[in-house]
Amino acid sequence: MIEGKDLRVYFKTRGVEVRALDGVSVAVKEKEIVGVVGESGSGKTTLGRTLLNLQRPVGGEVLWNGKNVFKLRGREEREFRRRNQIIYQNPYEAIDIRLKVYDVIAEGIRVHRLASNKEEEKEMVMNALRDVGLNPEEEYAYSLPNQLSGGQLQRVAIARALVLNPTFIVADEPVSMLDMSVRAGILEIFQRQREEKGTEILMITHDISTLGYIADRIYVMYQGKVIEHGSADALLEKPLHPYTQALITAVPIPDPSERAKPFSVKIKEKEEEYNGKGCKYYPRCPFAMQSCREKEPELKGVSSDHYVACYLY
Amino acid sequence: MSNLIFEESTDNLLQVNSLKTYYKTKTGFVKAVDDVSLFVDRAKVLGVAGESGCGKSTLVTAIFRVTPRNAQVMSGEVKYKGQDILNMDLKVFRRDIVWKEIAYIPQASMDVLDPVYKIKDQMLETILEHEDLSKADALERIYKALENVGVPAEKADMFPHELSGGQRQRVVIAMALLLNPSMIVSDEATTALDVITQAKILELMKSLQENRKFSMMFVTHDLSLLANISDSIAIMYAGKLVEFGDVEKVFGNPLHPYTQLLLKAIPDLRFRKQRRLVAIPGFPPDLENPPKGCRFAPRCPLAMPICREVEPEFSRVEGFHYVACHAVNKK
Amino acid sequence: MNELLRDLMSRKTFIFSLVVIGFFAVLAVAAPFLTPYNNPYRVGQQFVAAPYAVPAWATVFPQYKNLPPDVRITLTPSLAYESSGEVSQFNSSTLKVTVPPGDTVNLTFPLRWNWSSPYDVRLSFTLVTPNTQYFQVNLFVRDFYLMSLSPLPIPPEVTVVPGKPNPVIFSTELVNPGNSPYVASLPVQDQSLASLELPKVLLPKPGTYNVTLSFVNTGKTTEMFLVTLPGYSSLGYAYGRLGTDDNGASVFSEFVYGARFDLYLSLVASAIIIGIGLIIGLLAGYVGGFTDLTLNAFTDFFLLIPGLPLLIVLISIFDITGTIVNVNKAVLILLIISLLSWPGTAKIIRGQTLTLRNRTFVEAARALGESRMRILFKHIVPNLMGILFAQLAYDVPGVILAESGLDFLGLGITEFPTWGNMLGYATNNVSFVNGFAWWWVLPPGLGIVFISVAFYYFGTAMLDVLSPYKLRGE
Repeated sequence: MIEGKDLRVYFKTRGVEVRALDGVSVAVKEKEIVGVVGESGSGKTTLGRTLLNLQRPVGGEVLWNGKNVFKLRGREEREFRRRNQIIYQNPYEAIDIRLKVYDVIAEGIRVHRLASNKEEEKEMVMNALRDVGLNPEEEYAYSLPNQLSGGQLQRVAIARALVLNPTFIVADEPVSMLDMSVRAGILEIFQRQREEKGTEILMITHDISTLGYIADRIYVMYQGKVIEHGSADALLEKPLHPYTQALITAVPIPDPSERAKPFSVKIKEKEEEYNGKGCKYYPRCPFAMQSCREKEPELKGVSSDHYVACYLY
Repeated sequence: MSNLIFEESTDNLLQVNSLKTYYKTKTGFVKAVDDVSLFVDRAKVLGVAGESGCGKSTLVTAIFRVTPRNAQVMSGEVKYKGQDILNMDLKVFRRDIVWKEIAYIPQASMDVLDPVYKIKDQMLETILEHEDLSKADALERIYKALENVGVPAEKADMFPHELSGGQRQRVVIAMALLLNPSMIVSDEATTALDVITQAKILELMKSLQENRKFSMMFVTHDLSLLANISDSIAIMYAGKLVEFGDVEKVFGNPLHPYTQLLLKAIPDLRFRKQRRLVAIPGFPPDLENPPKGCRFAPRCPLAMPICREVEPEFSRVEGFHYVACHAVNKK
Repeated sequence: MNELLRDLMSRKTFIFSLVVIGFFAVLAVAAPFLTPYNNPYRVGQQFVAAPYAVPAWATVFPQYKNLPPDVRITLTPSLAYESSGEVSQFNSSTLKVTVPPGDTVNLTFPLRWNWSSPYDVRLSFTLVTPNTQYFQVNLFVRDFYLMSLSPLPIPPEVTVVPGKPNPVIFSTELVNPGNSPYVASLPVQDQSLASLELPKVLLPKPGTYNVTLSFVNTGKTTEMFLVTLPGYSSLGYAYGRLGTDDNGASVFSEFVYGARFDLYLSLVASAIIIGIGLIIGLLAGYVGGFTDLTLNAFTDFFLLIPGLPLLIVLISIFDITGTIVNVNKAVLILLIISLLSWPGTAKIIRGQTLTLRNRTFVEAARALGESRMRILFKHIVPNLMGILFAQLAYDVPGVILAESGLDFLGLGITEFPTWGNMLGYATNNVSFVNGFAWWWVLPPGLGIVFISVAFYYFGTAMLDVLSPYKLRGE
């Protein structure tokens, strides 16, 4: 079980402070797939990296089974690393492409000394390749990353993580760069991990319709804040925050009979300037009220598993 | 397929006939576009869909004659308003056709804008290169164009990096319309945008198209986008055209197994409870040595022995609905 | 690995660089076998031929057609004397000359000469004289009275001891009015030029010339002389593979040993430069922070020192104090060049390390749980290989050029040949005016150019092939 509490990550570039995460709390329980959706700049990638201690926050804490992640040292820190993995968006960037696929996957085994000899190591690598659906394993194991397609290489990246038997995986836009026909195959791997091993997964994406198919709970982020979260059913059935609503209606529907209707994305035609103190979304919000411009709304529970930060509720 | 005549073409603007464009490599030829025929009528939108390696980008660059050096048009022709544009003198083509008649919105449009020139300067250059207008008249047209795409006029004096991604895309669209072309070809115009901006841009393009009545060839890998803006759809796979027809027919009754699977792979939020996501097993073929027969056969659930021997004919099934598939042609 | 080799071999420039470097490497290593002269700047190894002798093969060109090579032969007498009782064969190399009292016997040795004038003329033989005071032996070439040997010499006569074997040497280099009658007969202003002019006078063009030994018996009894067959030698104007320099030393030897030194120096210097540059660049780029700051300042300090001027000053200082501190000058130059060149490499490696450090796969390795050390050696350094090789290959020509520049100015190595000082000396002797002594100027000059280009191509090829991430921006 991994939990982020009130995380704040601020970046300073050329004198301007960018609040990538501004008080974000997230929890992922066993056997859960939690989806985080938002556009670029929402902070979703930073959230994933902070949870894994690849980014230090200026405020807040991350608890791994109750322990403070940033204070871990030595063996505990190594154990944390082993059990908490990340899959990146671009496999060609996330893998050292000089290495053969075998060595890419075996790296984790070697670092954590999970195999006592070469045969055991080889067996683990081949098993991992089989787990992600790369058959015949022998052929894939000894090829170079440049020889594989995007989809195949992403599977290799996943195998690299799976070989360590992680309990938590952050998947940062794992299928955005892949073809549609290949995406389901990758997502299936995550689903199977959840079913068979109880792995917790944090799926970061900008595509909310994917989350509709595999997430149990969904967090919606906007400019460093969580503006709505809840069970996937509740959130998708009845999206509360105007941004979530806009997000959902903006998704193109593959049905030409809807063509006659114009896009019903409810967004203000002309954006306002943000005054620095109100709700981050009011410049684009068609329902903006005076209170929205004055103070940022807090997350409030609307039902047992549905929270929203908006003065409409 | 020899000189397929599309009866459904009522007011033909662009006609592609059996186009074969291959890339020459050290070891042979990559058959990127292999015998593709399609058409676009006046004031209509053709959506071209396909995944990576299907040849759609090569098709577009071939039409605009901006293919890389090792690309060769092996056979076939592209006709615009009845004129052969592939064999036309290049200078004449660039002067009279490109931008004036057919405008091109390439992939990564946002990077097409030169970062060291102001927006209005770039748009001025486009106009003045093709038309003999006074600077004042040209500027007026520029401001009007920006207004049409919803970009505030003051942005014209700024540099590209001062605009957001969505605004840059709108500027590129405005640039494409500056000379009032009869046709716009856009290649993955919304790929790098977030979904809300994408929706707004599509809405904009659709309304502009309906008002100004230009034709459009919209190329993308995202099939769902096409449902909302196209009149006709062409599906490409591994350099071949596998299905082509009226949008309602193709979506309502997809005939080619690839189209069917592709549609099932889209995570449609309306059916999240009822359906599972579908992936197509296997990987697209090597275009230098494509498999014998139908290129989709290795991954096709309906593959028959003949599929691995003979390439299926691209033939009409019912009205404006063409498909290249043995299983369908058998019926 | 095979992929890498295949990729490398497909590049024509790489093949070129291998050929050139290989060629010079072989030359350098095989130097002791290619020439016996390991330091032609030493006096003992000079004058192997005339100064400014053209390469032997250059005689195919019309303007060099008749230039003589070094000649060393033993003269044999003309057959006419076999029959007369006065001259007989004493042994295989010696003749016996019997001269009646008051008589003179002339022994003529024809010299078949096929070329234009040589640089010098040298005749040597051993004369066993009769045990009296009453004889004289005169040496003539053509009709020129070159030497007069007598037991009681009156200059320009030369002493010989009676009754003993006397080695006699006539050399145009050594003639003066005091030892040669011909020279003594010249007008005073021509006497000093005699050694230069004499070869031209004696052997002006191809032909057969007579070398005559005249045995005079001024006594009252028949006397016998023994004389060895005279040896003729002269230094020619066509010599060897690359001719000679202004001291008549073999240019080929200079070239080959120069190659040896230049390659050795540059490889060692490059190794030092890479070594220091790698460590500092890697530390600065990978550790970052304060370490980076201090190392950067340190590097900048060295970078901003003006190299060549400092080098000149340092060398001069050490030269003067050199006798106190007994340091090998070559080692000194090596160290100074290395110390002034590493900052460039360090900066490049630092930049590359920074880039690599920010790549996603490095963060991915951290996420896997890899220690920073392991990431450094397993991911960063291997990805630096391309640029390291490239630096090595760029540094070698750099060092050669720096060192050659010094030598050219005469401030570097002067005691033994290097390509730089070959060019320096050649320039001093105005040798490339009108293509004169091209054989002395072109080889080191072209050598430097070709080696530099070859290493550049080598480095570029290695850079391209070893870097999966395109570094040259193509």
